[in-house]
This record gives sequence, structure tokens and C-alpha cells, in this order.
Amino acid sequence: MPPLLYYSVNVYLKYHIQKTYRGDVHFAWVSSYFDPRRQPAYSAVAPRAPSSNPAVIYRNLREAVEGEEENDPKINEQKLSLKQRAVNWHNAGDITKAQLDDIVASVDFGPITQWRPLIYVIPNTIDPARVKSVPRRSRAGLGMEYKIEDLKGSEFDVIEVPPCFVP
Amino acid sequence: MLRALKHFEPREVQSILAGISANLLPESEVELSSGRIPVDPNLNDRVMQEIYHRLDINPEDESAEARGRIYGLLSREMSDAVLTGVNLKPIKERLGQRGDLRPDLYIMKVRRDVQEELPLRKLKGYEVKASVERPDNYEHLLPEHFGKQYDAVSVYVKDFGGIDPYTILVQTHRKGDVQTVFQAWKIYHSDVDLSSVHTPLEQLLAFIGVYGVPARFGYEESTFVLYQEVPRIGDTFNIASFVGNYPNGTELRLFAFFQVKQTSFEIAIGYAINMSLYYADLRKHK
Repeated sequence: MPPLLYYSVNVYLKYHIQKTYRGDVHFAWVSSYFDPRRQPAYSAVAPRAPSSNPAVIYRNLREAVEGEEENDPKINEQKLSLKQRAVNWHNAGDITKAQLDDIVASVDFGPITQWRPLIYVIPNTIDPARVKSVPRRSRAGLGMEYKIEDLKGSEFDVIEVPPCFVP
Repeated sequence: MLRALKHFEPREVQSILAGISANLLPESEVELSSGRIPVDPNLNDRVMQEIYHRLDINPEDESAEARGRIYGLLSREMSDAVLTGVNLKPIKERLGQRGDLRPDLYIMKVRRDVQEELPLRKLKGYEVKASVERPDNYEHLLPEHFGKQYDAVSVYVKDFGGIDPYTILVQTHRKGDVQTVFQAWKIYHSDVDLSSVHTPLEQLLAFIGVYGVPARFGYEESTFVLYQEVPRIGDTFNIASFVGNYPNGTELRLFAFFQVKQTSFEIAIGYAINMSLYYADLRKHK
């Protein structure tokens, strides 16, 4: 049975950049469970590495932001990822040099809160052909992972969980 | 700059670094729709060896911490390559106006009347500065959400502990990358209960809940106005009038950040405070 929902955790700045510079089209690495650890131990989804578990990513990012750990490994990963993407977009002619400068400066000069995690909740009404299975060699664990490369802003909901409910 | 890349132009350097980064980052962080930038394997190796050496990291070290440090260095190098020769001032102004600039990167100014009143409010200049540059929490109130060209204002808060803990709440006006402090309050926790409020704006409302007095803005009576247009009544520049009776000598003051228009006031933020009550409370503390 297909999942009811897909979940993806992304930082606020990534959401903002995709919305502003990519026409509100988002690249999302998604999971059919928010926290696969809560599934039965021998189910197909349980053996999921923490690095690709949305709940774990959410909690780690949240802690890094609250602790103002600007050099947290996950935040550094996000900084590099956004700059790398921006250079690619610029090389492909998708964004101007001024936009590239704006993105890189936003990454460097923005407040720590721009790294706070957001949860994307994506209904399964999305065309299954757009939900691509990630091959085993690219996954962090045995559990299934998916990616959607052209997720439109209107196709998902964005949730921020208050600190007292952090999973 | 990485020595292995010193003979390349900045545009080439940013592409090489983007290509190396794509090879290093987890696939979940690499979007391949725009294609992967190929990097000469020898150059890739030279750059990585230099990074390992500079960071004193064992190439076999796959730990999150080691990866994070490598990402951090590559990220800084990429910024250098992209932003070389770029005038950052207009970028910072844009980010600042949107409230997307780190608090300590704003140029901070303090209005003279605020500066003069700091001693009366038992505030020290360095505490106000710290509250804006290194706040515990802050909130940029975004005028665009209210559909008019209101001034952009922000609220910063910082807690100070000790036997008589207090919070300093500062209101600023944002214009580009300049923030001007137009209000600062010292709020003792024993006078105003801040335990059940979370956001800076909620803290300001809790303060107004204790010391605020109603005022008539236009035709409406209120203790607090946020991004609201109120009519100018008659040929007057009085933005509001106090409501109610108070003992002789009570000092009531109106605090508002607004623009005067032909027939209205565009108020970014406004409220009235019973200063006699506030000062009396402040005097209770050492």
C-alpha cells in the first residue's frame, strides 16, 4: 500500500532560496515515515540510518540552532550545499551573477535562525513517477528513501514544530 | 585561498569547488538537474590533500565532525571565490531591510532621546548594544505583511540573570543594514511576569499589560497598535490622546513610530505607558 504522506526535513534558508530563485520548485529527499525508528524492528522501513531519518535530522538541526552552533557539521553541510547548487544554477544560466552573490551572501551573513528545520508534508496524491527511489548505493541505510526533484510549493505543507514538541 | 587553485580565475575556482563539493556531499544535498561539474581527478586530489593537511584531518576520517570541518572550509573558499570584488554594501542593505541579516552585522545607532533617557531607566549603553547585537531572541516585524509601506521595526530581548533578574527589550527601526534604537526598556521579572510568554512581541505586550494605559488612536481606543493606519482628526498632528483619569502629576507618555500622511498616520508600532508607575517600580530595585 502506498504511504499516505511523504516527509522531508529542510532548513528554512533552502526553502526560501528555492521559493525565491527557483520559482517555488523544490528539491526534496523524502521518507514515507517521519520517524522510521517507531516502526516495528524488522519492518522494511526500520533499518534507516540516523543521517537520513527526518525526525533525527529535525532534532539535530533544532538543537544546533538553539545552541547557536554556527559550525555544526549539519549546518556546514547545508551552507556548502546551497553555495554549490547556486554555482551550478549560475553556470547553467538559471540565475544571474547578482542572484548568485545574493544567495552566497545570504548563507554567510544570515542569522542562525535561517538554519532552523522545516518539515515538508507531502500528500501521496503526487504523481508516483515523480517520486524516485534512491538506489541502495546512495542511501545511508537499508530502508527505502526517495527524492522529488520538482516539488511545487503548492504540493506540500510546511510545518515548524514548537520546541516543546520536538520529536 | 587554496594553493592548488591559485592559478585559476575566481569563476573557475567557484566551479571547481562546486564540483569537488558535489563529490563530497551526501547525494541528498546535491541537486543534479543542472548537471554535475566535472573536475580533473588530479586537481580534485591535490585540493583534498591540501584541505586534509590544512585542517589536520586524516583522509580516512569519515566522522561527522571531520566532514563538517571540510564542508566549512570549502564553504568559506567558495564565498571568497564568488564574492571577490563584489560590493557587499547593497547586498547587506537588501538583506537587512528584509530582516535576513545577522543581528551583529547591522550598523547600530541609538536615537539621542533614547540615549539621554537610559540612566532614568537604569539602562547601560553596553547592555542595550548587547541586547541588539547578541540577543536571546528577536522578531522582525515585517510591514509587507500588512500591505502598506510602513516602517520596518524589530524587537530584541536579552535576559540578564542574578539575584534580581531582568530582561532588556529594545525596539529598533530597520532601514537597509542600519538599525536605529528608538526604544529600550528594562523589565524586572519580579514586576512583569514573562514566564508564560515566548516571543519578543509577546514580552512587549506583557510589559504593556502592566504599565500600559489606553489611548485613542484615531477614533479607536487601544493599548497597543501595530502596523495600522489611523485617521488624522481635524488639523492636528496629535497621533493619539490619553483616555481615563489619573492622579495629578502622573506622567503618561505615548510611544509611537509612525509616518504622517495627508489624512492619516501610518503607525508601525504605538502604545502609551504610565511612566510614573514604571519609574516607581524601577526604584524598588538596586
